Amino acid sequence: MATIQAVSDSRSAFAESADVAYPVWRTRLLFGLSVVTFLSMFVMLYMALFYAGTDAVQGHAQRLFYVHVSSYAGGSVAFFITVIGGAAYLITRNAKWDRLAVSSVEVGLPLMTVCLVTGSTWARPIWNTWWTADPRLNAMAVMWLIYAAYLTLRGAIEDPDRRARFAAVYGIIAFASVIYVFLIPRVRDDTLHPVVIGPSVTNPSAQGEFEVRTDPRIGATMGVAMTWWCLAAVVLIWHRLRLENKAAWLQALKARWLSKQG
Amino acid sequence: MEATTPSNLEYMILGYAAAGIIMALTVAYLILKARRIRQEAELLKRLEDDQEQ
Repeated sequence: MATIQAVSDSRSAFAESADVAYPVWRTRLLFGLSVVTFLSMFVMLYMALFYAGTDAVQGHAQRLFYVHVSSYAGGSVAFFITVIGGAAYLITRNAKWDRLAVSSVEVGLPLMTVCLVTGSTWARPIWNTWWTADPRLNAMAVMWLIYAAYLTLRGAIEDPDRRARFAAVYGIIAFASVIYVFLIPRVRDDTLHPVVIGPSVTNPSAQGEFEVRTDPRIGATMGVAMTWWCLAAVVLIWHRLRLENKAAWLQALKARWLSKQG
Repeated sequence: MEATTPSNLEYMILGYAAAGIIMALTVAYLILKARRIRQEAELLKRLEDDQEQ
């Protein structure tokens, strides 16, 4: 950021970079949040690995719960921000909202990857398999592919306006897959996947608790983990958005420089 | 028969290690992207300065 602000002071075409020179308080807030996120990661890990008790039935593998569920929450927050970015772009046609949308997908996808990988690692000792054709698992894999395709398809469209319009609509529709993944063990009775957060109305056999309600340490650890992953998602999106803004500014400067040459 | 808590610490370690690697790669991607943009901006500024001279 310091480089960009220094460059923006130049008397040349770089003066156009004023739109990426942010107010100091915002930069300080982002820095503060980044430090808090980094330090609180150790608190979250301590609580997940040592503070919360070992599950009597599942053993240490159950501690993956604190990463598996909360990374999904963080990923969902990121993908919800994609919806906000997409909707705001369609209303305002301002490219900054498109940049927010793509930034949140690029952060949400690794968070959902963490959810998939930890889920598979947890399934191996408990279900005796890394993966099975379960409705929840398959829905999660499809959701991951839908968002991976978002990035791939964006890269295939040259025209920036068309790309932004397409991505906005795609990002809004794609969020249905996030909701579907959340709901599926609650409405289908043929899934192995337990429901830990909230009730499972139509599928009581899927209800799993890990004593969340009776052991305050498990509930507290889950709360801290959820907060951490959502905070990490927001901080990473903010950093990614700043990079996207800088990249757009640089692109404009390049185009201007090239036109001068012509 | 009394049930015993299973020993599956290795899966917990594997899961946390995988999560750590994925997050580290994500942060590394952001750092490398920031570096590339900064280098391109500096190059463009140099080109423009050369042109003015």
